[in-house]
Amino acid sequence: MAEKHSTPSHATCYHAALTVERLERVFGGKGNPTYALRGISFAVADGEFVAVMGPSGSGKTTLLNCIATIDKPTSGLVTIGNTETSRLRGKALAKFRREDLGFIFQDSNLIETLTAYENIALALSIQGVRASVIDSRVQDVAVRLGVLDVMDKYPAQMSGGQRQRVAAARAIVGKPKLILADEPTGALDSRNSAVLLDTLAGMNRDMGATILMVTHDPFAASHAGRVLFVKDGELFNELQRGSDDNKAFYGRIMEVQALLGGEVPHAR
Amino acid sequence: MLVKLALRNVRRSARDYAVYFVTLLFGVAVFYAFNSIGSQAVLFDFQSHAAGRMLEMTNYFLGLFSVAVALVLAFLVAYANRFIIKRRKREFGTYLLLGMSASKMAAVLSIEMLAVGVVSLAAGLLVGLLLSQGLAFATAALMGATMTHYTFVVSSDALVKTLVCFAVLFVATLVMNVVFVSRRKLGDLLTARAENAQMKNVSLGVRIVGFVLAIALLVVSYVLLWNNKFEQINGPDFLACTVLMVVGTVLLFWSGATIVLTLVRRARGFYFKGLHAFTSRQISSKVGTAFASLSVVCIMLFFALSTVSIGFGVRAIFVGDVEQCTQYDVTMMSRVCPATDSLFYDLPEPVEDSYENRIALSKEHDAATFAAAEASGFDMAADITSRNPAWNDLVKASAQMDYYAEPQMKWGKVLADAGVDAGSMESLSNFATSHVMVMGISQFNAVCELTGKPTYQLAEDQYLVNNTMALSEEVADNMRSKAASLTVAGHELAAAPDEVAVEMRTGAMPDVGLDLIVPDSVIEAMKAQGAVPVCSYLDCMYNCDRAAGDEKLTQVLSDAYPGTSLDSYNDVPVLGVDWPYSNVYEGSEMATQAGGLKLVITYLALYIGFVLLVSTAAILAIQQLSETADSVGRYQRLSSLGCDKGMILGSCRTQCVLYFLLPLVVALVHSAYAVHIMNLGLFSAFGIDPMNGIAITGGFVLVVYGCYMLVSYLASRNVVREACGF
Repeated sequence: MAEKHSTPSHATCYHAALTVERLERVFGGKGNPTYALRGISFAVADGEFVAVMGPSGSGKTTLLNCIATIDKPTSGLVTIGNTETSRLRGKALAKFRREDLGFIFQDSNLIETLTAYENIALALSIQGVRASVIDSRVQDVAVRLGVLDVMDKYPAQMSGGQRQRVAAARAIVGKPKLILADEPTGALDSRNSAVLLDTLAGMNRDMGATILMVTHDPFAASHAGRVLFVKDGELFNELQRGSDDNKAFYGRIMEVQALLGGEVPHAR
Repeated sequence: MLVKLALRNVRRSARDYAVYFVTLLFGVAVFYAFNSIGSQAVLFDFQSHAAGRMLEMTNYFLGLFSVAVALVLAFLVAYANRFIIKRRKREFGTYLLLGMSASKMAAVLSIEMLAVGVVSLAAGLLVGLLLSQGLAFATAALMGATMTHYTFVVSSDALVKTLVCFAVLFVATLVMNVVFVSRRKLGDLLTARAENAQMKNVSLGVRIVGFVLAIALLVVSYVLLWNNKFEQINGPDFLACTVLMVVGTVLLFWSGATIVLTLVRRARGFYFKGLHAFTSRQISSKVGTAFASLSVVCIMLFFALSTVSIGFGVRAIFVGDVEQCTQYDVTMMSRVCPATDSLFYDLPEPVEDSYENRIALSKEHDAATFAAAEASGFDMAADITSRNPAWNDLVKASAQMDYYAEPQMKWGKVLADAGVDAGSMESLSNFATSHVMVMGISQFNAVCELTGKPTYQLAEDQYLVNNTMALSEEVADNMRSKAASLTVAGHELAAAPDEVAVEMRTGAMPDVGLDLIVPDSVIEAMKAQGAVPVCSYLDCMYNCDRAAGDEKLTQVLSDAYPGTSLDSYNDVPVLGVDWPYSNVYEGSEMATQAGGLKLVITYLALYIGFVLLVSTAAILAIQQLSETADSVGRYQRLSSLGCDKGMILGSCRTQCVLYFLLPLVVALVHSAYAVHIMNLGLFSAFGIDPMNGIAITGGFVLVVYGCYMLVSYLASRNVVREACGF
């Protein structure tokens, strides 16, 4: 699966999996508008693992929803691959979601009547992948993500960590252009969080997955290659991992976090 | 304040209340309409009391069944109510949390129920009033009566009955709810979430055993029914058959879902295609957890289907072809001198059957009547004319037929001697020991001429077999084809091959069963041996129309025989010996009676069938709706995973249709089998085509069941659409 990463469709060496341009999202009527996003712009390269951090109310969830085509931006453009998402409607939008996007939510979002295997297979079967191909792909992903032994279990019979890893498997099995993770460790204890984050990093490193993760947890963010800080609907800061290991990167994130937090009283 | 809150609540949970409301409305409407049949009498200018009594009888039966209907509706209302309460547990918990007292909350709930109850009762009564007007026209059509002065009839009886019945029902539900709400602990209410349709973990092996057992039980019950053929409904066999069928059906639903799911999962090409896996799991878990109510629904459906289709078949048996049976304006019957063992005698000890003994007993019973009959030469018309010449003004033409029976000539022996198979008649217990009745060819031809039918020629050594009863048709055919020999009064005769089927008298149904028409010389020989008719009929055609004729007939007969009266059908004395008539069958009266019978059976079948169908459909609709509401999260997930509207709504539709069809299919198989058995036994004997009833049932199911299915699909679709933002 690494081939996908190493052979970009464009000749340029930097190929954006996601570009966000001047994205605005305004809630409320004309008289009393609330700006959730104030013209934010950034890009995520193919094969990148980016974390978006920010305090609650910063607009990071609105940002994710706009990218995920769950919410519609008031203005601005979101381009994933070569598709400008605001143009998509109905069937085309659904097709785009199932083929180009993968989701990992805080509460795993598995379907509780289906086994882990069937949950992962569902992402393929709704893409119209043939049943004979489905099995090998599901098995392959399950092995890579270490969830092979829970394949026949229902979500209720699994631990929270297992559920999230199955959700991650479901998100990547369809080979999406972009995986969106919304507070994936939010409901996990620290040990399970670490396992999941290693899994995500592995997906990015070994399987070439492009991941955009929204989190408020610096530890989670320290597993990403780049961290974007969002505040009041704007890009506040940006950190590149560079050659740092997780621990060093975590320290730098904490510094920015302190800066970000320190400014809050001042802004009031 | 409480009222305001309650009314707002009703508006807000309108969708949850919808099925409750519609079902209550249907229930009230049908309950009122069918209970108001009795008061339709004012619409008709009935020519006879019989018609009015038929209406009364219909009303009485419908009233009896209304008790059962009320119970079914009570169950239904309680069920729909429980659904609403369950869905709103959290809301009630919030009220308690906000500091509302349990009694105030109960008051809010009561006001809500009252509001919905009053509105649905009012709407139901309105629909019921309209429906009952429609039923009045149906009554007119079924009874062949003309509606002389149409008015909008409101039956106060039915109104009161409906109001009382449903008032009791409301109060009962109200009490149930109040108890439920005030007894719950806050924690239970707040943490209440739609219980997940998680099946109890029963191993596949146990389910397979259950499935095999279910099939075995059903097969045994089918075999038992095959042997029973509905002939001994009170016997232990029939009970066992019913119990086995019920248990088998429950087991089938309990195990079937898992078995079918296991099979479907094996078909990977199908299972892992689109949303098939999701849809299969949804249905399987729903069926697996709701197997008990599905079984109840299935069995109720089975009763509904069988009631309607068998009901219409039975109706055809009783009513038959009214036109054929009422060709003659009036038929009078006389039994001056019946055979000694006939039912008309209640002899302390058996007396040997002989011509002499018959006459002696007849004289003993009523010497004057026998003398009068003998004096007129057993000629009914002549006797009446001699007493009242007005008879000739009334009657345009008449024909009398006299049945004779040789004392020792019984059917069992005759058929055995001729080597003819008794066929379907064998099952009739008293057939073998009943007398063979014969009549002269000239009398028979006179009856034929009365309605302009062709007459028959008969050689001196032949006899004709006249038969219009489907039950005895087989024997009649056997006798004709075998030229069965018969010896009457020393004459040896052989059956002619002619297929004679002449309805010889007016009655409620075709009742000419194996009448043997012999040469006149045979009758003469019997008379010479001392025979007198065991039974005589006089078919008459009026000079005027039937209504006027029936009226005149009453007058003529009461003038001729003071002290007798024909005012009411029942007032005619039915005696063992009477001359010149003991029974009078007026064509119009018989038509009305047949219509009345038609009315009772039709309305009963429709009433029961309709209520059962509505009940089952409502239960399924409620279950389907709550299932969809519980699964909203799953649909949202599917949508976020990129399933488009078509896929999700398609899955929703498949679930809805299959959930409605599963119990229907099982019920259809059961009732198709029951109707088939009924057809083998009863219906074919009476020459009834069951397709008629089946077609009506099919239409019924299509409309009522289909409507509920459509409504619950549309409602489910709305829920899903709203949740997924389509």
